[in-house]
Amino acid sequence: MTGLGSLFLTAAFVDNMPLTLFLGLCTFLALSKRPEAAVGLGVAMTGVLGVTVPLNHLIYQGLLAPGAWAWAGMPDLDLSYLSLIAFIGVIAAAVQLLEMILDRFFPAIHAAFGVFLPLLTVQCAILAGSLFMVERDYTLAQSLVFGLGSGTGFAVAVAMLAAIRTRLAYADLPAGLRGLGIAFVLTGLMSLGFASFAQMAAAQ
Amino acid sequence: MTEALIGSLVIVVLVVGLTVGLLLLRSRLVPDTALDVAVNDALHLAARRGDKLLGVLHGGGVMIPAACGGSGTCGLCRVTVTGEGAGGPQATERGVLSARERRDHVRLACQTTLRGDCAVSVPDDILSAGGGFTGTVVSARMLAPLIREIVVRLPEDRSSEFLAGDFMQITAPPYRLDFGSIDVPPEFREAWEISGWRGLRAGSETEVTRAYSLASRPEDEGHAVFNIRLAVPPPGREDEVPPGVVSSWLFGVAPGDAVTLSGPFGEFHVQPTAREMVYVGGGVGMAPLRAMIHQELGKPGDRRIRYFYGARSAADLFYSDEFEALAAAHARFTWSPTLSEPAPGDRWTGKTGFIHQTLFDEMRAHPAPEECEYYLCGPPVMISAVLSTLARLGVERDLIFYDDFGA
Ligand SMILES: Cc1cc2nc3c(=O)[nH]c(=O)nc-3n(C[C@H](O)[C@H](O)[C@H](O)COP(=O)(O)OP(=O)(O)OC[C@H]3O[C@@H](n4cnc5c(N)ncnc54)[C@H](O)[C@@H]3O)c2cc1C
Ligand code: FES
Repeated sequence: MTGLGSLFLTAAFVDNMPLTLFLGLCTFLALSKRPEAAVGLGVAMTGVLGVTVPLNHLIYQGLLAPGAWAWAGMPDLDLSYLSLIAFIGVIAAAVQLLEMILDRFFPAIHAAFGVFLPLLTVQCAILAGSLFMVERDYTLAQSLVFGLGSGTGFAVAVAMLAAIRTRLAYADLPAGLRGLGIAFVLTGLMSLGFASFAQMAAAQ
Repeated sequence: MTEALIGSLVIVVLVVGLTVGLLLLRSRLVPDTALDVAVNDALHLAARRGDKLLGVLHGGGVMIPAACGGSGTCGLCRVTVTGEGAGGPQATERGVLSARERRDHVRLACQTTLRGDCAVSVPDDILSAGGGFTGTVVSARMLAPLIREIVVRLPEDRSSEFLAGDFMQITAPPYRLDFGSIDVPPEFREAWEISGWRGLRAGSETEVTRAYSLASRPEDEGHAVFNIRLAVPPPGREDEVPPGVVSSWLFGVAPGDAVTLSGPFGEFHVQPTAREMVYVGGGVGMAPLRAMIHQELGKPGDRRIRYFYGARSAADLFYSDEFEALAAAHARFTWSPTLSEPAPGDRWTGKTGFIHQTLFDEMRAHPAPEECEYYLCGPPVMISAVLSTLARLGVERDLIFYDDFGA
């Protein structure tokens, strides 16, 4: 398999954001009650990650990384400590754009998101995408693939959880477990399942 | 130095760039278009994309009630909306509207953001009621330490007819009130001194509107009677929390003052059946129940009526003489006041305890409590205690009607 293909699969399954790294769990749990909202969230996450990771890559490599200003005669200038503020700015703008698009074209999904839409601005999985990109020194193409892959992984996981939770509407659960309680248990079980992907990657 | 300069420059350029980009995209994605809201096919209101429907209706003089001020909890701003522009129900509306209402396109106007043209239908009387009107206070007296009865004379051209259980909206103008200037009758002074309410101050910079149930009797024709409970801050928090805006203003009005009203509105009404009726009230929950009982007793027929009313001590019990007289005059009416904490000086010989207990004791002896209709109005804790008591008595929810004043 080509490098980019396997990067995509690794990002989506082996390093699955909610189920392996436990990032972005708040939105993951809150918006997995109904499949439509979950699919909406999955698409939104893929979009936001797919845009912000490569964009942040360009900003980081072009302006902030050590040596980025070498062309201007300042090879020692290191602005990488500004990366958090720059990344958050880009993410905030992307979420704002997403909000406008949903409001305009998909009002039902917009309504389903409620307060969780603006909260995507500080969603840990999204920021983690950009931070991993820096840490792992991805190229632009890799950043794009990594962003899309993580987003797809998130989408698959949240759609699966929503599907199971819908089925549970017919289950006779003990009162204390209904709602969030069983969602946590399910997340744990799904996470065990996803751990097998890590085994596959390690065996290679 | 250069580093700080370049660093700041990079961030500033980045943020400005993002902002400009968003502004450009926004102007393409969110066009600021003019919309048309058709009300009952009779009236057309102009609106802009993104406006809240409630504001558009109020701006156009369609004064639908909005007791909670648009926070989506009272459910009084229900309207039927059809057309693309209203979008789907928000999460806040799901808690208030039933599945059936949602299917029938009922929405909360205060939660509906307009995205396109739409058609709204409201009850015809709201459209003809126009905006608010002005009444004149003719009497105001304290019934209990925190409850004041206010009688307003309605303008000549307004009928004082209403369906018992209805409420009106009262709008308080901007005002300031020092509670020290409230005239408290001698029998309630002690309670006021002990609780330190004298030192409170209330006020508002803007007009504020709240809902108040009509407590009028048939003989009050031409007038609207209200029982107002002063919304004092929770005990111990007098320094941080201001007293309620509109109830405080109403504690300051005097005979001769003008009051802006709108309505009547309401959904809490006596059902047109022949079932026995049981009323359970507490506090200013008195108001709608009093109107209902008077209207029902004025009708011919023999529907049995029981009224359970809970108060803390004798000082908090009001209209008691009136209901005793009604009970003496009508064999089909019984009045059961219950005090939860009678004061030693009350010399109370009636029932003591919580009102749901009195209700349970009496209705347990009833041959068929599940066949009666129940009308409840009072503080939320009372309502929930009574609801669980009624569940113990085997009463189905569709025979229980209550008004929790939007709590
Ligand atoms: C259908 C209906 C019928 C009603 N009928 C009656 C009736 O017959 N009689 C009646 O008395 N009432 C009735 N009500 C209730 C009434 O409409 C008002 O809600 C009530 O009078 C309080 O309004 P307010 O403006 O005085 O208080 P608000 O200004 O709304 O304040 C409410 C409470 O919040 C507290 N508060 C204010 N600021 C803060 C803060 N920052 N933090 C914490 N707490 C704060 C205040 O101290 C007060 O106790 C009815 C309501 C409905 C919906
Ligand atoms: S005004 Fe809309 S719910 Fe109260």
